[in-house]
Amino acid sequence: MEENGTKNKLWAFIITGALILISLMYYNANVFYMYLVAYIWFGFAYGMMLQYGRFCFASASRDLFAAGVPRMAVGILVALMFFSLIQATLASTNMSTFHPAPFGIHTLIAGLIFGVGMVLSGGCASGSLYKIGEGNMTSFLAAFFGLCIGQAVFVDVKWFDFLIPQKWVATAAAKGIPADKMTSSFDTYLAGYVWDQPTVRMSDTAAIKAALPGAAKYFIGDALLTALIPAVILLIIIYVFYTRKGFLKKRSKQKGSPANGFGDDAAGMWNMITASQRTTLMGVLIGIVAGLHILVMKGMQLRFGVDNFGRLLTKMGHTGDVSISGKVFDPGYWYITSQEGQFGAWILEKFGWNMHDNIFFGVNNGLPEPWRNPALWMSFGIIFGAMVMARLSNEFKFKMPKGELIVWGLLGGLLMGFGSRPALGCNIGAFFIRVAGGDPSGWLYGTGMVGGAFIGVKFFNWWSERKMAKEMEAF
Amino acid sequence: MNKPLAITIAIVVVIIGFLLVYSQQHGMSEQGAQGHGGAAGGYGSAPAAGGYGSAPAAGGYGSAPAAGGYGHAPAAGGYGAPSGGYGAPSGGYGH
Repeated sequence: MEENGTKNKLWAFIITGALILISLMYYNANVFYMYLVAYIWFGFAYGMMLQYGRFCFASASRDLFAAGVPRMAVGILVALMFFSLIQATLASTNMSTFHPAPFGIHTLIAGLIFGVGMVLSGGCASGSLYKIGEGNMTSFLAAFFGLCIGQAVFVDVKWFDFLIPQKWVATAAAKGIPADKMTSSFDTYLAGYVWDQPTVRMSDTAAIKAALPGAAKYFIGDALLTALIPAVILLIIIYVFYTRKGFLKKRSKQKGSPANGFGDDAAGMWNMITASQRTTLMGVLIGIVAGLHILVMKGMQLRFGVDNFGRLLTKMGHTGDVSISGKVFDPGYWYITSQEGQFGAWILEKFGWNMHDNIFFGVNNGLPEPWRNPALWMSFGIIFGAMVMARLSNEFKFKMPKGELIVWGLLGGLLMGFGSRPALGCNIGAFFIRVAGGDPSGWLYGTGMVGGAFIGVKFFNWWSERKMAKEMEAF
Repeated sequence: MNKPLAITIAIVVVIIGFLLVYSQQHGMSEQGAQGHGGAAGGYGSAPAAGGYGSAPAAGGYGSAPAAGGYGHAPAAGGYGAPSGGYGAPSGGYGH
C-alpha cells in the first residue's frame, strides 16, 4: 500500500514536471506559444478540481434522478452562480471573451441527445476527460470514438441530407461559401439555418440596455437575471423535492417541536448546499478559475494583438493549420468537444479522409497539428490534471471496460458527439459558459440535457430490472 | 492535506499567477516575440488590427480585408468566430 502511494506520488511529479518542461520548450520555440501554454495550465487546474470534486453532469443527473442525492447538482449550480458574477465583472471591464450563440429549438434537441449520451457513457464531456485521468477506459472509449471520431465524421458526411429542408439548401447557397468547403449535411444546417438564428445576451437586449446603462447591465442582466435567479429557483426546487422532508423531520426531532418555519427552510437550504463541502468548494473554485481563464486569454489576445491563435500560427508560418478564415478553434474560455472533433479529424486525415472540405474545419476551426492546437491542449491538461490529483489521492486505477460497458461507452460517446455539434457546444460550452455569460440559450440546452439525462436514467433502470429478471429466471 | 498535493497546488497557483501577470502586460508583444524568435526568428509585433487582414466593416466571406488573408472577424457579415468556432459573434452568421 505504502509502496503504491510512493509510486503514485512519483507519477504525479513526473507528469507535472513533464508539463512544465513542455511549457518551457514552447516558450523557447516562440513566445507566441505562451498563448497555448495558458490553455495547458488552465486545463490542468480544471482537471484537478473536477477530479477532486467528482464534478460531472452525468453523475449529477444520475444521482438526482436515480438515487435522489442532489449533492453534485447543487455543486454545479453553486459554480454557475460564482462564475456568472466573475463573467459580469470581466464583461464590465471589457475583458471578456464570451459571445452568445444562436438561439433556437435546435439547442433544446441537441441538449436532449447529449443528455441521453452522457448518462449512457457514464460521464459528460468534461467528466469523461477527468475520468480518463483516473484510468477509466470506458470514458476513453466514449471520448475517443464518440467525441473525437464521431464528431469529425458527423460534420463531414451527407448522411443527414434527408433531414435538410430545401429552404436551408437555398439559404446556405446564398451565403457565397466556396463549394468545396460546403459539402456535408452539417454544412447546410449551419449556413442554412443556425447562422440565421438570433443571438441573445441579456445585457445586449434593448430593454436592459435602456434600463441599466453602464456596468449594471452585466451584473443585473447577465448575472442576476440569467444565472443567479434561475439557479436559486432550481436550488429551491431541488430542496423541496429531494431534501426538505428528511431535513425538517430530523430538525423537528432535534428541536423537540415542529420545524416548519422560514428559518427552518433556510437552514435546510444551507444544509443542502454545504452537505458536501468538497463539491461546493470545488464549485466555487471552478467558477473563479473559469473567470481567471477568460481574463488571461483576453489578456493574451491584447498582448499579442490578435483575436485568435490562428493569427499567431500564421505569423509563425504554420498556414496549413488554419482555416480559410485564418483561424483555429480558440474559444477563449473553458470549452470541450470541438477540439476533440479536431483531433478525430486529424486522425482521419492520416487515413486519407479529406476533412478540410467542410465549414466546421475548413472555414471556421481549422485543423492544426495536435501539438499546436490550443484547445486540444486544454483537454489534455484536464486529463493530466485529473491524473495527478487521482494519483496523489491514491484513486488512480486502470479500469478496462468489459461486456456491455463497451457498448454503453461507445453509444453514449457517439450520442454526446452528435448532441454537442448541432448546439455548438456541450455541457460546458453550451450550458455552463453560456448561462453564466448571460445567454439564455444555455438554459435551453440545459433543459434538453436534463431531460435527456432523465430519459437515460429511466432507460438504465428499465434495462437493469430486465436484466435482473432474466438472471433470476435462469437461476 | 498531504505534502505532495500541497506542492502540486502551489506549482499550479504560481504558474497561473505568472500567466495572469504576463497576460496583463500589454503592448510588449514586439519585445517578446523578438526576444524569443526561436525557429522563426521573431515575428515583430502583432498589430491590434490589420496586419493579417484587418476587420472589414461589413461584408461577408469574400469581402476583401484591408490587407490580405481572410481577415479578422468582420464587424458585420462574414463568418468565422474570433473565438468559439462558428461564425462571428460580432455580427455575421452568429456564434
